[in-house]
Amino acid sequence: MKYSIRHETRCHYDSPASYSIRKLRITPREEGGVKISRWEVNTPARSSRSVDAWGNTTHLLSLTAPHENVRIVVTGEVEIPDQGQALIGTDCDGLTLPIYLASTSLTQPDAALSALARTHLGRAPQHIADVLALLEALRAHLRPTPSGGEPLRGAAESFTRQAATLPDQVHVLLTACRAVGLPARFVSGYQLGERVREHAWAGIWLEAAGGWVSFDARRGELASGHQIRLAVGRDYLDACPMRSMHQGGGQEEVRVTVRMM
Amino acid sequence: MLSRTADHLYWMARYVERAENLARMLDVNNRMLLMPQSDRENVRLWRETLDSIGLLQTYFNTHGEKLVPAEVVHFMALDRANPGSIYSCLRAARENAHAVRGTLTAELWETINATWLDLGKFDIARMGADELDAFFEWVKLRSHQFRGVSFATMMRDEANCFLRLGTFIERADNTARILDVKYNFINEAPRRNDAGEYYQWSSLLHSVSAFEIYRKVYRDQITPSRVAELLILRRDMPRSLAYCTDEMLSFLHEVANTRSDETQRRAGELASSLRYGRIDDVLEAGVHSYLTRFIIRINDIGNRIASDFLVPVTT
Amino acid sequence: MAPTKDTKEQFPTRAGNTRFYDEMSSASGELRPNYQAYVDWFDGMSAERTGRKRHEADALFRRSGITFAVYGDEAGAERLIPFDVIPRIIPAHEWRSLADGLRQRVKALNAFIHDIYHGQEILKAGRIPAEQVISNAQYRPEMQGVDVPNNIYAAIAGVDIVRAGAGEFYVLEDNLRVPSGVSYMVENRKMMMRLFPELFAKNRVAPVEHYPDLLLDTLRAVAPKGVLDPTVVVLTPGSFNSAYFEHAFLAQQMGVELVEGQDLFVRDEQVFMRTTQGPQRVDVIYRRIDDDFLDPLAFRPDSMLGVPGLLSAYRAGNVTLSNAIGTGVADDKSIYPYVGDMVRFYLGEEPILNNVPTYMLRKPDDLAYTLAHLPELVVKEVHGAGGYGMLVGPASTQAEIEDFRKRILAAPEKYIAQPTLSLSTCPTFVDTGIAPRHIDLRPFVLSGHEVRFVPGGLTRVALKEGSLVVNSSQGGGTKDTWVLED
Repeated sequence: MKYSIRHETRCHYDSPASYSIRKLRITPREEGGVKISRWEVNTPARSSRSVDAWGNTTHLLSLTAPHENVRIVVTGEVEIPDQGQALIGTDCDGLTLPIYLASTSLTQPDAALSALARTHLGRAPQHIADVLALLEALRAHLRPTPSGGEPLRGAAESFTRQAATLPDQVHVLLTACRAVGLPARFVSGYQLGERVREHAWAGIWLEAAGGWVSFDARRGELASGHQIRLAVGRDYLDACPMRSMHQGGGQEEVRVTVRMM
Repeated sequence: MLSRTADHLYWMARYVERAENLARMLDVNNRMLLMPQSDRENVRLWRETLDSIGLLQTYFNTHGEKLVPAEVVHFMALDRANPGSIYSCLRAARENAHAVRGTLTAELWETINATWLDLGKFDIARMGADELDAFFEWVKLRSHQFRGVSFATMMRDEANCFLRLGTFIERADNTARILDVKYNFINEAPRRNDAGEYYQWSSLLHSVSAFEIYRKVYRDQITPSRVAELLILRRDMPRSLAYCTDEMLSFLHEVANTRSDETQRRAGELASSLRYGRIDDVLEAGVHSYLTRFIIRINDIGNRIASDFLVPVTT
Repeated sequence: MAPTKDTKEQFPTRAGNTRFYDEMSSASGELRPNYQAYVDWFDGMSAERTGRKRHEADALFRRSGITFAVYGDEAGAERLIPFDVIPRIIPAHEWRSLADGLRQRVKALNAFIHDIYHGQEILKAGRIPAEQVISNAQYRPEMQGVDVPNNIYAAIAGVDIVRAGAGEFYVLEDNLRVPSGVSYMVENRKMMMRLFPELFAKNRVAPVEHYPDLLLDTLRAVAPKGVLDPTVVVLTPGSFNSAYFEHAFLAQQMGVELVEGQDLFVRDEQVFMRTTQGPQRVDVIYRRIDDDFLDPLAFRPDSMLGVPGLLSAYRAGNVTLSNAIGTGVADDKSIYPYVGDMVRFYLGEEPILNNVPTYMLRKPDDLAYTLAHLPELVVKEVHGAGGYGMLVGPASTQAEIEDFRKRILAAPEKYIAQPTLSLSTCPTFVDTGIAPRHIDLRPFVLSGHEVRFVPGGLTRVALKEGSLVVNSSQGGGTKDTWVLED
């Protein structure tokens, strides 16, 4: 099935910023049968395109003249395979998978979380059902909180607070999986349905299932086939659609709209 | 030269100069207060002084709406919480100096550092009028020492240019503000005898080290229009607006870069208007409105220098 | 304490010292030949002059601002690293073999870093467990497939070497991130030449003061391809950093700008510094900031020290960082035991320098052995540095050992253990006169077009009697290090 997408990011500063730079990860990953037929990234100045350590396509945009607004408009068409694609076999192997075992500042191990992980995933080989059982337990433990304006707290703190924003829900799941030796990665992208919206998932490498399997930590289920992955990485900071810094300008306000055309 | 280095040098010089001019301003106010005048006038003088340097609201926020002269003096001299006090200026000068210690000569660093350390010995709350005088004299002296040591030990390179730019832009701004407040105050004060007026004008001249110069230049009695002419247009009077803008222009010329054309043009325009200006035109336009415009223009040039050469002023 | 006129210090070690290898005297109490000329000179010098010179050294260091430790705002507290005027003297033949060993080791380490970010041959060959390397917190996936000029990752290495047993050299640690201390090496020599010029007429001491020239050469040698006249800068965290003096010293000696993160910016994947004459391209950054803080867009987002976008410029090959990003995985204590294997694997040679035998507590056997022998061992945190977070068994109380045992049991994978080495000693001025104190050596190895170094390095000395911890943060001092020429 073909989707036409328009993804607009508007950044506004209180007063003119003298310099700003942003790294954008807003180009779909062509994996699991996803095909891009057209994809245009329009930035207010020339941006440099490259592929990062995780295989994500990135754009680096730096603006050196004073500016109050930055508008980035992405339009394109993507073809999604009709059968589900929660499972994506990739070329990861014994040499690349351990990368997704390393803990980052947002996925620091936590003793209680590790214990919970072991009760559900303690025995290899782990199956999809085992992860779903863990997810159910996590959903019972963590109260979902809205992301807007909330800081990233990371897995350990969120688990202790028993509340988590979407990215931190994913972090908790990643940390739990890594604690039992399962490679796990953060995935950001679009959830497709009646409407299209930004979303984030956890990709977990299950040998028994044959590769990466996507889980929706918020809904506590396998991710449906209707998704477009923009970026993967060890945590939110590796995989989020945009990271930016600016000089001057005061506060930055970011508005993102994604819609189907 | 790194923009950050130039920025620290420029602001170091500005803060030293600002501390000196604050001392001059407080000094002249204190002298004016020795004159018999009503409390209402007294309060008006302090209000206008605070207003002219943009600290009136800050004062109200911390001290309430009632102006008590002794408190204002403390607020402007040694209040650590007031970012515009002499204390804060000398601290900022020293912080800027410390950040570029490697660029300064050892003597210059020691001068600034010693000033900062000695400042701790003063306690305004316990000072009588005499001691206040001595404190203001001390601040002026240290500022003179700063300029003298830098003049005598620093290499004549970019570092020196940015340091001098800081000095002259700050001085131009400050002289304009001092003159603006006092010119207004004296002219609007209730008519008194000639001696009283003479005393007011002479203390203003003293405050900008211009009394002897006035005598030498005019060899005549003190009149408001001549005071204005001396402090605005005389190119040989080292605290006048004309002198400061002349100096600023020549240092700016030495450091010019590919972005600074417009800044130089504006600086040149401003300096020329002072060089070829006539006091009659200034008086006709009104001293207050003339100085207000000048302050806007000199600060525009300051901001442009920051964005052309230094670290842009950001919020 | 200054010695008084009539009490002339004697070198106590000349009476013999059997417990430790002493740099000056043999076990039977005979003076080693490399110290002969020095001791002859010392014996001819009055105690009064030695005392005066020691004070002079102190005053000179203080005046020139060669200080260490944090600058506290109003107090302006700065501290000197104690300098001892008795040099550590290394004979030419010993240095030659040390130098060969260092060259070999640093070549292998650079080859290793290149390999793990490219073909990963050593992992495929099973010489090192892949997970040990790839899941290591210091491993930077961002460096995978990134080519760096001349395949040099650790252009500047500071290898910590100790001497133990009957005088064998051991490598204690390979510092491949931002090794510091080289300014003290240079300044110590300048100080000695100033205090005792006659000594250098009598002894043929290999010079070290040209280190900044070699460093600049090395940094220029690793400039991006095609840049003929590279602009080099030193990137410092700022004047509040404890090694700020060294950053300023090196920049000034090399004649390059000392910049902070805020002085640099990235535009179109190129790095510029903000100057009064506009943006100026920067080609090589000798960075004294840890990986985590280099680029807030790629690593820690809260870093105020770095340059956003720097990683992108680096990966695009438009700027060189020295040292490269991701070298920390090679000097990690959990990787250290494999350096010998690296030498064999990449160079097909037997390692010249010894490693200290190391127990890795993530291995059950090693853990059991260690727990049974804590009073004899040194236990270190895998990611610790600066002498913190470590247990020196023989020097610890029973309570300290038990406390550490709990920490180990809670997370054994975080620790390694090593036998306590009997570090060599060198006569040193202390409050009571002259006494033997334990020392180490940090030579600085530069890799540009070829491996180069100045002979010797920084000798650190543990001033507390019996102490084996030489770190300046733990009360260590330094000595001038002489390599005698033939």
